Amino acid sequence: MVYVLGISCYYHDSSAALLHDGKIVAAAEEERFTRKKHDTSFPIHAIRYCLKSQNITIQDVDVVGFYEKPFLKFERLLYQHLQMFPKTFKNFLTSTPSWLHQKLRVMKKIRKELRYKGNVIFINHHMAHAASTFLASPFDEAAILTIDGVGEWTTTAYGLGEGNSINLMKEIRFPHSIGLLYSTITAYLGFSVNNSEYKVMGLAPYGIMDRQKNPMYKKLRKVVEIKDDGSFRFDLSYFKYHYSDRMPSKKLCNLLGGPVLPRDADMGEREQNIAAALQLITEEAIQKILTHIHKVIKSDNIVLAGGVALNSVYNGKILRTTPFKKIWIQPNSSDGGTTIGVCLYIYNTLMGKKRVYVQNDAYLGPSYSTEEVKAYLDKNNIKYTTFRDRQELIQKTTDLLVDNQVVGWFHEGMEWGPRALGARSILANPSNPEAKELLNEKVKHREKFRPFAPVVCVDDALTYFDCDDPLPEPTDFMLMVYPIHKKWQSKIPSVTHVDGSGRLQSIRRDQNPLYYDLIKAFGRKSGIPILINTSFNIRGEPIVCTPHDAYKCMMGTGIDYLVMDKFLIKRASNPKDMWDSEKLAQD
Amino acid sequence: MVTKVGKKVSEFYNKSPFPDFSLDRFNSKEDLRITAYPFAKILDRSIPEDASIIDVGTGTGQLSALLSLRRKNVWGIDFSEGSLKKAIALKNKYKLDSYHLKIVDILDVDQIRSVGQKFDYVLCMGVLHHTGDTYGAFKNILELVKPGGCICIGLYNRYGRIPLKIRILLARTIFKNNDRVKEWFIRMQIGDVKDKERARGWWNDQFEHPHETTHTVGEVNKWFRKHGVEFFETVPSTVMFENPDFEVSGVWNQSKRPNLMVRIFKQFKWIWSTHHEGGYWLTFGRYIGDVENGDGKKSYKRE
Repeated sequence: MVYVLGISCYYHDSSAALLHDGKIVAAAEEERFTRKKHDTSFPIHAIRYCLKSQNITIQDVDVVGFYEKPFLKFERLLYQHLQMFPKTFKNFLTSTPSWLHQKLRVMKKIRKELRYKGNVIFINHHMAHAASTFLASPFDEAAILTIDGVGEWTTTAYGLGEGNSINLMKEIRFPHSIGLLYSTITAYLGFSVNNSEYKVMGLAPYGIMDRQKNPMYKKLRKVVEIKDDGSFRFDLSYFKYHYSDRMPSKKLCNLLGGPVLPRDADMGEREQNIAAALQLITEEAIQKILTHIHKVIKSDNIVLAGGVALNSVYNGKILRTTPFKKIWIQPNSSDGGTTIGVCLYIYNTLMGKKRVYVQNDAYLGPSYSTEEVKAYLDKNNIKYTTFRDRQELIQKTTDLLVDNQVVGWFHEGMEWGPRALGARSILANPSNPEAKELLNEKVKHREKFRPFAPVVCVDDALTYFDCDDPLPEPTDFMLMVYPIHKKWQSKIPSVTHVDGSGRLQSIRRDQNPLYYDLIKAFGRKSGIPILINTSFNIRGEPIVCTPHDAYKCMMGTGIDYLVMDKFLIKRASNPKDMWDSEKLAQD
Repeated sequence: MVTKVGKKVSEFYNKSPFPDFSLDRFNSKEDLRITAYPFAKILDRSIPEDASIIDVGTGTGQLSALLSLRRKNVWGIDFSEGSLKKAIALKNKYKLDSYHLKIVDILDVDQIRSVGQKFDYVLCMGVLHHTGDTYGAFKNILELVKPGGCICIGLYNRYGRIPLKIRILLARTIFKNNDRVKEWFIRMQIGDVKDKERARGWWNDQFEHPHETTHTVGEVNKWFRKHGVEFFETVPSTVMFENPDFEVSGVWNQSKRPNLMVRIFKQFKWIWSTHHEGGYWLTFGRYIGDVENGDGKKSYKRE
């Protein structure tokens, strides 16, 4: 029996994961427990959950792994400060104390607070990313590409994974980073950095997605020089992130024709074109890299990780625009997901054990038994009805959905990664033309331009979406955007983006039978086996974790019903004024 | 041989078993898990699945029944027939084959030996201070520990219990007939008094008990040293400047043995920090062998 615990913290999205005999048995992000989005604190709650789920304590864990090498990263920061002195002096004064008393003292924290006495291993950040995707993928050998903001030094790396070994061959180093470019433009458009990059991606299709016609593309292209092999170099005079924060410099503002936008600014044509240009440049760079990797590595399989791999718009184009034939992406590609990479890397590569794990679903978080849910409901005097059996649950929920009600769906273990995939989801009828507005305004309180995602059973996906055939597995994790077939676009308006695409989640029956059957039953009744699936939270809040979070979220928003385990809770029959979600909705 | 205190305490427990429960509250094994106290769950996780356990003074048996759910050999002993009857009913309801119960008076060595085996883990929580001879009972239960086995002793602290003693005095004199104040006192201890059965159980145990003694950390340390028990740690912790998370770290971890100054400081702090629990604290250790009889090793390192 081998247990390995992976920890990531102090940058963004701290998380913990636990491996037991080669299989990831539990993983969760700290934000879900502390209810603080992108929580960076030491993931004590997540660790507690991981250990609890296996009925063990930290003393039963054989190795604890950490997702980066803090001293190497600190070295990079010091180097950066020295190089850009005296511009960096203010930044140096504010950032160094937290390094000295917290970030460099992870070891002490593990020893003192967790009272752990065994081995602690620190894994290179991009190696952790690479392992999180390759060692959890179904491939025996594959090319690996990791792209994120920045790890210790590396911002982009590629290599080859074979069996249980990973060889990262080449890397691009700080300060040249696609992730940081994306973040800088995100900041320029008035969104929050390390959080709202996906909003910029959602905004892009409103602009002109054509290199020749988009006026901003030519301007923004000046900033970055992309070579034929995909390696890129930034003109650093446009940026400030290498010496202060991730805001754009004056030079970049002049280039883009205006100052940095305030928060919640209206997105006009110029902004839409900037987002589109950024997306175009990102796609161009990644595509060149991928083509080059295929030439060097000569594998037909590609696996991706790192924050930029969450760019689902481009992910959907990879198999069509590059020579690769099969693709897999870690569902939690951002820094939070590195913890399962840490666990798998230690077990498979360092301990040299055979790979036995393929990540088929993302339900690695806390789950609650029927008794626990019932105990919670009874204790808080919540009015509910109980479904007689599974059949009745599916039947009644389908009726509600067809009746255009918004349903909270709480089953199984919480999802690992940023997407809700049918364990903590809000479901609605996609044929209802008002659904998008209703969900955006009453439930999620988010920007109007953002579309909702459809969920479809795997055997129906090709009927409605113009997907690659056979359907690549990352669609199970809502990681790829595909065009919706023309004739269906008008029938499911709520999930069709302005460019006619949809970020679909495909679901296989063995992943979540109840969810699958619900969608099928909905299809039989309404004619279209597709549902709107959006994460169970409001803007600015992490996805719900416990029955209490779910109940509270429902009571504060426009969700009409909550289907939790085998109980149905109606919002209207419970006391109203619990809290006001609109006040809390923010980034 | 039954002492005067023993007789009184036995009568008390036969009349009001502790921690009391009605059997229909547990509809499934899962309920046993859900209703368990947080600390019971921590204990459950700290003990390996293949270990044998004996809960000395098991009472109505919720803790030992919980521990037996995923283990092969768990014993519960108690000298109150009334309490044990409830534990037996619980055992029978779920057909807990790995769960064994027996009436044993821990002040009588022969009765203890009649259990017929030694255990990896011996738990004795909130029991010794009701026996009338705490040290004697402590010596006796060491008979049940395998060399290298772990023990847990839960006692009332001499200083930590002062506030509760004051409350007891008030409840028996000034507020004798004031139910609201009495309810407030018990709410202070268990948080929620909606569950009348539980509240009554706690009231009896804390305010009506015919006999209790209080002890200090130093005293227990002395017993441990004398009888070859290696000190591991206490809950609440007696390590300075550390606030371990027992849910993660588990119990039975070696930590620094507190010196006199630390003990004074910590126990002084316990007067208010543990007054809700009535100054209850646990000491964890590992039995190496009887030093007095010469079969113990002087130093012992955990592997």
